[in-house]
Amino acid sequence: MNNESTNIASLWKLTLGIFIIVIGYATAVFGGGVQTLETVEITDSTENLVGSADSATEGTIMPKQIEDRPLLRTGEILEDVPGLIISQHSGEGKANQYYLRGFNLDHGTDMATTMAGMPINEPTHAHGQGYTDLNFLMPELLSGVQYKKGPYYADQGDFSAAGAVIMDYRNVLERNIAVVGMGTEGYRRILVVGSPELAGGHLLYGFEAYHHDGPWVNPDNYNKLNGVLRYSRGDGQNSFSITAMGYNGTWNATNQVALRAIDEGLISRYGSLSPTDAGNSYRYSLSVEGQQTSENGITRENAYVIKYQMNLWNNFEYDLEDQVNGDQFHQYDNRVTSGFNVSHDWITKLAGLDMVNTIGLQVRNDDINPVGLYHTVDQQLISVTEQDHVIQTSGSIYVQNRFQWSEKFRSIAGLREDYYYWDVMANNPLNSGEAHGSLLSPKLSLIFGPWEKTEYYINAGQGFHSNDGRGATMRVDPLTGEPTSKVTPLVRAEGLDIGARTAVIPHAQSELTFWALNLGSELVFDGDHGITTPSYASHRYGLEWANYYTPTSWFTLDADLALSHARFVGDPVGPYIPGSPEVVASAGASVDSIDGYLGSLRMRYFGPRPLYDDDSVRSNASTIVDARIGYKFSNNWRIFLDCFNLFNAQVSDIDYFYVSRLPGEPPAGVADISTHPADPREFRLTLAANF
Amino acid sequence: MRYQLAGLRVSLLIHAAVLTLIFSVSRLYVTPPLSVAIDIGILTSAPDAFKKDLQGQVVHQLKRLAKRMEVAKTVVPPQEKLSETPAAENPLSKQGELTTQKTLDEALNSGEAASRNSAAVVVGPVFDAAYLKNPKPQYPLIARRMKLEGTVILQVLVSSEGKPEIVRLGKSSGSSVLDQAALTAVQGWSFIPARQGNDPISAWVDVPLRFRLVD
Repeated sequence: MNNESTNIASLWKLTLGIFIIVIGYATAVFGGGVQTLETVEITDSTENLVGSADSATEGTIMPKQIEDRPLLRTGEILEDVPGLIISQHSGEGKANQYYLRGFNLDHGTDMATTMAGMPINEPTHAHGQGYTDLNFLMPELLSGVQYKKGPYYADQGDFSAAGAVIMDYRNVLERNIAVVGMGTEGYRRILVVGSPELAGGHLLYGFEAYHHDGPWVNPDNYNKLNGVLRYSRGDGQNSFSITAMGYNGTWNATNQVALRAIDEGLISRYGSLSPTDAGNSYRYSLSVEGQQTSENGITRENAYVIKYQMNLWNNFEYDLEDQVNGDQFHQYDNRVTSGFNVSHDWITKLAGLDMVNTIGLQVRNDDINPVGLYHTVDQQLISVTEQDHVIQTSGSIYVQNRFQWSEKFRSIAGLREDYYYWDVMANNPLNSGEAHGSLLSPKLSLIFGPWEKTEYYINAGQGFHSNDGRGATMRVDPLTGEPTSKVTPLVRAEGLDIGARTAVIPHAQSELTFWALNLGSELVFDGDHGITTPSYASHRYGLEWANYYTPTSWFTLDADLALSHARFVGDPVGPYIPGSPEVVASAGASVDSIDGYLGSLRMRYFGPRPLYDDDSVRSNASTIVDARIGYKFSNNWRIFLDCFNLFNAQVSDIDYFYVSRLPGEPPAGVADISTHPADPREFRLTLAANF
Repeated sequence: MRYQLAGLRVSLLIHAAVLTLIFSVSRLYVTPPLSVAIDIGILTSAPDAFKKDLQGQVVHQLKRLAKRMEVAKTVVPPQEKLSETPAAENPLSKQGELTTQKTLDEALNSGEAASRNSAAVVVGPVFDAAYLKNPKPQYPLIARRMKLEGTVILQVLVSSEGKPEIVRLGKSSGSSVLDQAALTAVQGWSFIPARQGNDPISAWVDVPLRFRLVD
């Protein structure tokens, strides 16, 4: 039967060997204690918002989307927010102009933006209330951009009526990246980012040097230096980080110009009527962020201190107010902002149903010394119009209850109390004083579904924006000396959203929302002072439709449409709100990558806007197409060519309608469109290496 | 010749298995059987087991053993498991895994021959990968909203019918929402019960569940 007898020696060897092996196995398996089964992985996508979002207009822009988008300006990372338009009326170092939900938000009047827990909007700012300068951001480092439209979120306060944008940097990069970019119109960029391990955590670093001239006869010569250093430890559940950021920018500004000056041949399309207009700004911040997750829930806290300065020299009206010296003015903002945010989420159950109770505290202090307005000629001081030391302090507390009533119905109820204090020490004692303000803002969201991966949302809530603190104590107009009335420091906003979100089409998300928003007083641009000033109450409604489709890992398609209707209440001239867009549409396709090739094509349609309250003057619509084509040599090398304004559309970034006076014109000036032309076709070549 | 050689190997293997069995029996009297979790895997030589269809069982058990080792080898990194659950030791020592595999493969290649031999090996309880077919817990919506992640380790007493008799928290994920979702899901699972010889028995097992959010 077997050959045992033929080779006994080898047989015994084998037997012994097998014996030992089997014994070893048996002991290993059964001698050691309780068996541990294979780990069961339960994954879900953070992009999947059906079932967890609070509204149809809440979402997150993923780093991949930011990476795939050609960025003419840093701020354009926000254009992935459906219905949001980024523009510029001046030199590129200045804060962008933002348009959202039928608002010309100027530099950020009703859109709250935060970075790493630090508010970016500057209240009581020398140039514009809520001024939001995004130039200090490094797109390559962003962990994503979260947006929430409407005043429905208890953790959002000042400036969040139209929406809130929440950003942070990644703690750890998958790879270190070095980028070199060159292009037409003086574009140069160097960026190095990385995140080596250090002492049980990671040290994120980023450095950026940037230069751009633009198409202008008087080149922007925008130079910026940007640095980030962050040390972080922990994971998504428990973490700590400390971050230092530094930004410094200087630029010349070709502001919007009177259209007649171009038409009459006084200047060329890209010429300037005030070549000494310019600006510079810096921002240095130190911040800490922490999160602890325990059985009791999640505690988050952050604290920050920001040193910020900005100088702007502008002349928007030329020789209207002062026919001898001209109307150039200097705005100076020098401030230290400090604050902290603490919140805790109790994640519990009530009668077996999921519930999260949240309490949060937000404190912010701005010591602005000074916030000033000066009359200048070619940047040389002629007189001080206004120079104030303002201390602005706000404290906010909010509570929120999130409750899953049933499998198909959940609600979020929030209550927020904001308290503000201003101490204005004005150069004109008549305008000095203290002011207080407080507002209670209730918010409620009802979410029905999902059915067939489709959810329905009803959001109602109140919010607000603050006005410039100087207006809260002002008795006389600093420019004219005439008596003026104080403004209400906190302005109520109330909104309603009815929306739906569906993921019923595989790999696609689509959101449709009807919204309405009433505002107690609109902040509008004031050319005389070069700032935004409170104006009439307004009401708005609109429709937003956003679509995002990723059929494969290498192809994405998106298309958004926003329609809005905005009107003043009680404006004797007319109900139209200058600059409010009626139609905004964008669409894009990205490939990354097929056989190493990558590319993207983006179209943006910025619809016509009324420029004057009676709708007698309107701006033209603009359509701009940007494109990218590139190649990945390996996992480590990537080269791509961006073409901005592919069809070289001769359109404007922004238009205004106001009175200005060119040399030789009648003393009363001429009411005309002032326009800032969009950049003509521009190419940028970028080489990126991972190391 | 080739047939004979294969027969020899199988024969040797079976002998070795019997020796193992004897060794195990001797151990059994040192440690009380089944009283604590550590003992669930110990083989017994209950006489009844031998009387039953041993021929088929040997091959069957060897196949399951091989399958299990493959699963263990490819899916579960031993070091990671050790660090996660110091209480539960790695069931497969590295050397046992590597050396036994080859021999088993050879044995299985000649499985038909083995079936004609009437020696017996009894392999301990095998919770094989079949449990992965059980429905996974849903990622709790509230956890997705709150961006909660973590690994839960559940201690499960699997009855001889393969049902979870007791499910309790071994190691929390750090958040009760995920722990609860895991407990609820696993309570409805089916397992392949541990075996003592040919008889299913109840036994404790650790079930790790990892909740993770991806972009």
